[in-house]
Amino acid sequence: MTTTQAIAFLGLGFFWLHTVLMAAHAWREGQYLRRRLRAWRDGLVPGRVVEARGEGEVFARHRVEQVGRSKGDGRIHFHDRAYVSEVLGGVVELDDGTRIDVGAGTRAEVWVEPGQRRAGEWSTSTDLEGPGAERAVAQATKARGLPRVLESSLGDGSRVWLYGLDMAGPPPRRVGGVEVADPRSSLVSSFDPRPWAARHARRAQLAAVAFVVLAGACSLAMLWPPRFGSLGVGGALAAVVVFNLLQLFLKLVRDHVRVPPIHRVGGLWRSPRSVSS
Amino acid sequence: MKVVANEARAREPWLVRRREEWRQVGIVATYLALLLTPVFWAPARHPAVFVAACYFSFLNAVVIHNHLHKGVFHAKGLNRAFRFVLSFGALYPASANVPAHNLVHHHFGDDGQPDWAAPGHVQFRWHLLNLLHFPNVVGPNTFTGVKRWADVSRHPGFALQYNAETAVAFALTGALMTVDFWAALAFVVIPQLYGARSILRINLIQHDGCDTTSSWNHSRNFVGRAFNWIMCNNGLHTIHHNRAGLHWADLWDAHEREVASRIDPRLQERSMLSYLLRTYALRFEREAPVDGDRIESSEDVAVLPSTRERLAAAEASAIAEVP
Repeated sequence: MTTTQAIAFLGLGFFWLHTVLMAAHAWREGQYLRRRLRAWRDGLVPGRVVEARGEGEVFARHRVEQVGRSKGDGRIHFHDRAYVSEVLGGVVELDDGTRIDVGAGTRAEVWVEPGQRRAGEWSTSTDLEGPGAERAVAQATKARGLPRVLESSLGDGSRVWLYGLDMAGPPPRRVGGVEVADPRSSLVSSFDPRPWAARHARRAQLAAVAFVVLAGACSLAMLWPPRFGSLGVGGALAAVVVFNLLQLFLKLVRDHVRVPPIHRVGGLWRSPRSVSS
Repeated sequence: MKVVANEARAREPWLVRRREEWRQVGIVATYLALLLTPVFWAPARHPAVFVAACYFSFLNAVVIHNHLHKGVFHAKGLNRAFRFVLSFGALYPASANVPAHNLVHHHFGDDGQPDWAAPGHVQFRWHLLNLLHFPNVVGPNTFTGVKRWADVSRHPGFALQYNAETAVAFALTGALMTVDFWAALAFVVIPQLYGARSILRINLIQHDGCDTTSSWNHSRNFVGRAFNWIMCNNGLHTIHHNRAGLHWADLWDAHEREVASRIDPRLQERSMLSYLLRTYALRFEREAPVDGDRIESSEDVAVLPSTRERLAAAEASAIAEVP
């Protein structure tokens, strides 16, 4: 075997090492959601808000604090700065008739149905027109940008699912600059989170399997006899491409399974003039 | 006045801004020779050449870091051209460093969100896996982050330069693959990827277990003299963050003057190799982080320019290098 061939095999070894690491990461993302599902098995209870004590009759709310930036081309790109969950307090009547009093300031994640339109969101270019649009674009071109807050709130009559509000849930940990919520974190949700978590856990773990299958296909092509022939070249090239693509796929998986309170919202607004031109 | 200016210009070294820059030019020239020779000359296809190419690929990425902070050459055109050379060496566009490193990383955050290269992006219990896996996560974070930055950047030349560097890097590498595919894969592509991924890994090595909210204990330093000679003082990371506008050749004096007596001794390692062995091979889990607030005195903090001024210095030097 020549040195070149030995290095090619070494490269294949590193390709597999990193494929397994990426698959393990995707799998772990799914495992995290499954741990949450296990925690919810005893203690996730549905109910309805019968008294909301927060300002504007709000029981709980979720805010996405954003900043919009533009390079003056009539588009504003919104970047999420912070995700804030707040419980403002009230009374919830559970499905079994029990009423529980939730104090203001109770630490809990607020989950809102993904895809729901939020207050403050400009979903079409006609939400903002004329001088307002021009002012917004002008401000977005400045260093401070254009602040915006997207808000979803749960008030009187809202259907909710609660977990862990009767106990002091563990606070999120901060490791190396990144916050990680404990699977036993308290929760106020506007929808049943279990199907969401189960579906996303399944997708993350299927992705992990898909990573390994893709790597296997490239390796098979690369090693197909005669080794280092034309198919081998194709397989090796595919391995280099797939190696880089898997990293992007892992990011897609991680973003996809982020729990709703920290799910990336972003947003792009185009001024009416830039849309019509 | 004109005489003084002429005399000052006459004292400047030829072509490069500082005499020390020839070291970086030499590193890149050596690296290119190691990359290209095996493709065209079979006797150079030797394990030692491969290992040397991987090592110099990492040094090439270090040069990218320094060059994107402060250009090597007097002439802007030459600096821009050098970026193409560096980009080929790393198989990624060198200009990516402007938003990724000079702006986001020096802020230790992305406008309220974590630094694209924050150590916490990897959280395996077995810490060695974090070291190996780190570039797999941080690479795409950087790629998507740079794209978002380019969408709103008011420097029209950035996107053109970035895309051009990408095209040149891939085109040259592709061309070499048509000369001899397996030689190019083994002796060009693998070293390129090694260097690019290693420089991402350095973020973990330099900041894991540190307190990025603190004034002095936010970075780990490697203070071996020989190490810093070949690494162009990139082992001195605290002073680099605190005085981002300082040229790399001036970091050693500044480190000894300002940093050495102020930071936790655990953040001054003599040898990177022994640190890596101790932290990743001989230890299973992550170490407990340093608590900067507990260690730093108000006098220590007062010595520095304010956080706002330091970030402004980092931004100013970053933007100066954007086309």
